[in-house]
Amino acid sequence: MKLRIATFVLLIALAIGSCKDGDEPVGFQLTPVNLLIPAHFPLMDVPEWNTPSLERIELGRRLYYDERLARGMGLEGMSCSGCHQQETSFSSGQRTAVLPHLNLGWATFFLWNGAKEGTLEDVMEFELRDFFEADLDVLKGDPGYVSGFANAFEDGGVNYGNAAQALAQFVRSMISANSKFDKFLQGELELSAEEQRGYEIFNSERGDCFHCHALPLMTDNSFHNIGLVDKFKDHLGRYTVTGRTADVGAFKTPTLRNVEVTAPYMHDDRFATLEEVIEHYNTGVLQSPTLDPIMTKAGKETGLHLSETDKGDLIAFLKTLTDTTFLTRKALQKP
Amino acid sequence: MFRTIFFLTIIGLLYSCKDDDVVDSPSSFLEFGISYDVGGDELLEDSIAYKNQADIEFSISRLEYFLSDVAFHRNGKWASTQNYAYLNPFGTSDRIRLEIEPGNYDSVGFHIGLSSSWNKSNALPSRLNYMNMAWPDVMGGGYHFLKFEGHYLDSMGASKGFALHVGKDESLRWVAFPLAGSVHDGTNMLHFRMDILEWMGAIHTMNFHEQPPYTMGIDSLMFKLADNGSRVFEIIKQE
Repeated sequence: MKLRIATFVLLIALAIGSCKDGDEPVGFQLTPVNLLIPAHFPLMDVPEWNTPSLERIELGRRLYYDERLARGMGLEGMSCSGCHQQETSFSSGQRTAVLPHLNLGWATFFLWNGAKEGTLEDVMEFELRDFFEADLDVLKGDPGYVSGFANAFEDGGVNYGNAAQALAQFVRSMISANSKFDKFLQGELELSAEEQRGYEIFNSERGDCFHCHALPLMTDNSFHNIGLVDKFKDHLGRYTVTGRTADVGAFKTPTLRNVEVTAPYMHDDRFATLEEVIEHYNTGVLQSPTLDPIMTKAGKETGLHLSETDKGDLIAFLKTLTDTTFLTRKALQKP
Repeated sequence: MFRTIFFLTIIGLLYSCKDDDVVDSPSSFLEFGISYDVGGDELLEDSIAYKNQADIEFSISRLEYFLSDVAFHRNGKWASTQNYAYLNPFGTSDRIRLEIEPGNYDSVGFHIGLSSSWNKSNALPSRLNYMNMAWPDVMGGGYHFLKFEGHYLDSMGASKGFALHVGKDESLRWVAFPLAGSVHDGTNMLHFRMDILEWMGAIHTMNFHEQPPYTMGIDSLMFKLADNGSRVFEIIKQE
């Protein structure tokens, strides 16, 4: 009888042990992080091999702000944060129109002409290896980094690949989704009458902003020629990547989230204020063979015909996209 | 008695393992394959290369659309699968792979666009492709059924844009195609061809010299485009 009971217990143990969950290796472990993505946002595709973890996000944050790494010509002393500052939604702060670093976890193309595409990991490796020509010896000689890589990667390797994964995780955590407009979308508050009118202009054929600045990311991640120029020598845009005639003068749609603080605007920094931007769409669109089809509607050849009140309403709406919690979030600040 | 409890316990524990919670796979699927051309010419995302039924030369820069409610007909009844798919020959499309009982079917049908149960704001999962097809709440909500854009040469030979969008429940069109051959065990393939030229004039000719080159705000034109959409597909192979 004792033998039977012993066999019974042994077989139960074996049966339990045969469950797959029991096969997980114990040893190197990361601390999982749930990115705070609100319900009205799209699902984010995150590579299974680089799911968010505290260790990698923190390592990425250090790398983002580290001014010792860059060796590229003219970039010595620069870091990602040199051109992407939090108080201006990780854009450049009035200097040049770099695309802001926010909600890039949903982006599929990067840079104004989309020259980089793929995962954030791919893009960050390009930035480290080819753009900044980051000096890995600086990382290898810093005990803080050595332990940071050891904590974040099972192989502990201080290399471009791992650094890119960490940077990608930090950038992926830069989610702006807590503006007044987000609260409106979630039914938590109402817009003012002025903002509501601006919202309606934005999302109807009157302003026709929504086709490219699609909700809720306020970008369609696509490329459009919006009639800034009719001579394209220095404004070839997407064409320089694809070689397609139809892409001449087309640039990536920037997100309008936090647009209140991301001046200057457009790929060539041409507009300093939102008023100038609205006026371009209202009266300044230049015709050209590749002007975006959305912008060539009959009756709108001479602009949108928005009144001064309409323009004010539109700007009031755009300012509801400012997410002050994002602009001040400690987890995104220099460590 | 002990032996019975013993084996039942072991079997119960083995079946409680997560990996054993697998449902038997259905034996038969039907998958759609869709190829695209423009009146027999290869679909190119570039310069003005095509001519429509009104002799208007045009290019194509965007083609995105939804299909929904694929259904199969036999014994006098339609069996709907209650699903939808986003399709984009220039980008990433949903896969249309449906579970189906083996046997003989008379025909297959689907909606071009999203039927009313799906055509409501936020009715579809929060995926980027779907959200970029949203039809703003301010204009009634739901989704675009079609975005078809490009450039054409106007009467002076200048390149201008056209933007043909379809939305709203009234624009939904049902199409059906006879099926030859039976659905067998395993994966069956239905190969469709979309002739994009038919959007321009299968029933109503899109003559941009005489009508606006866009449908926004012009429901009558949008419905004509939807009518044309009912002729864009054909089945070219079933296997």
